[in-house]
Amino acid sequence: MAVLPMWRRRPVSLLLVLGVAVLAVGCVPSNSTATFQAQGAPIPLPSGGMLPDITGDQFEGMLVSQRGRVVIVNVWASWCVPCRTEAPLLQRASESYPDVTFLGVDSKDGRRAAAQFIDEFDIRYPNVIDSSGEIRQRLGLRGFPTTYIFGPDGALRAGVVGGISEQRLAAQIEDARRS
Amino acid sequence: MIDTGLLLSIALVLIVPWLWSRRTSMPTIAQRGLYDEVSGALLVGLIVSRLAAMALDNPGGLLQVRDLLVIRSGMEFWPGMVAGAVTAAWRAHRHHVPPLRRLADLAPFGLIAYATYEAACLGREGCYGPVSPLGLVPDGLTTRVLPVGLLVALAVGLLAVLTFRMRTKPPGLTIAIAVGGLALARAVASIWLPRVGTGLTRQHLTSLTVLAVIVVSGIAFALTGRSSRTAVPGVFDEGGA
Repeated sequence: MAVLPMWRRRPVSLLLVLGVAVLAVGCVPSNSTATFQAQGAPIPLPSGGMLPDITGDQFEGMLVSQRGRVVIVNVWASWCVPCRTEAPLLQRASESYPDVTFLGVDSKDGRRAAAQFIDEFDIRYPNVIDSSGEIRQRLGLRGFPTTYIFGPDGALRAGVVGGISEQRLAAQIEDARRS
Repeated sequence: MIDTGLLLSIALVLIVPWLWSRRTSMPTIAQRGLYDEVSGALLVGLIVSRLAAMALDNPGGLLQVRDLLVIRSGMEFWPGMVAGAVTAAWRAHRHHVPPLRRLADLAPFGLIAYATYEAACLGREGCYGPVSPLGLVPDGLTTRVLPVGLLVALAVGLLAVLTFRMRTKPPGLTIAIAVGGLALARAVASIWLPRVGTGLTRQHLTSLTVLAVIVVSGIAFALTGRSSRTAVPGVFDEGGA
């Protein structure tokens, strides 16, 4: 009996594996190359539990007020699946690095859904809402979620699109702290 | 927009073991080809990996198909590997092939696939590790770090060659060395890899657990085997299982 080619013998399994591979790749780049330097008058961060809707200028003011500290800005949305995965990691990191400022920016989202997301993952670092889209435009956002790492001098050091791993987050924070 | 680094990693993980299998002769694989034997196991392993990660990181998303499909959000290695191995063993049993023999024959290819994935960290988010004058500067960092991923790739690659050269040895021994060696490599790597906080990472904890199970099982087999050696072959004897 003639032996069929592999692709005809196991098409379903192979196609499924390849399909999963494509899904694994996703449609987001892993690095953002945007440059950004916050300017303007310093504005204090909101306290945990508040979820103010702010403008792009106010966002930059908050970053300016954190000069001298490493700042991690995480742009997220409640409907974003990788955001749900990385949320506990970011909260844990905010507790492990008390000398680092964490700021969440909820964009393209509803206030109620955002509040539920924060409650669900018990996120206690400050979060703001970007209902106008100004913040994501200024940051040059390319996908959800994106984590931006700012050095103590306020310069943007890296932007990680599509969910950040524990290794990368820890390495970026430690590197920024050493600078 | 495609994550080309991850795409390249997956492509290499699929291609490199296949190329090696084409140049080798493993008794229970040669007839049908590597991916004929493992495609089902791969699929089951991927699904279980994802489910395990969801159960640990985002239990609320377990009932959401959309959440389950975003593989990029994370996968758990050891549950997926166990599920894949069980599937491969079951398939071997169905085809009247000794399951442990099949797993032992597949072990080198699984290890080389893992080594390839680790080495491909160069093309993904970077190869991280402790600060070191001998190292690389991953994207976004300003200091050199020891590329732990590359060292793991080297160690596991050597382990793949070792298990390949053990193909005439008892299958249980080959499998124990493969799994134990891999667990050891992951556990040691976890010491050096950056992490948030000071506790053990999940990779570290699970790899130590697997290593402990292998060591204890090996000791138990060694003790019971010595005390009751008969004419009936066991899994650590030639031709066993």
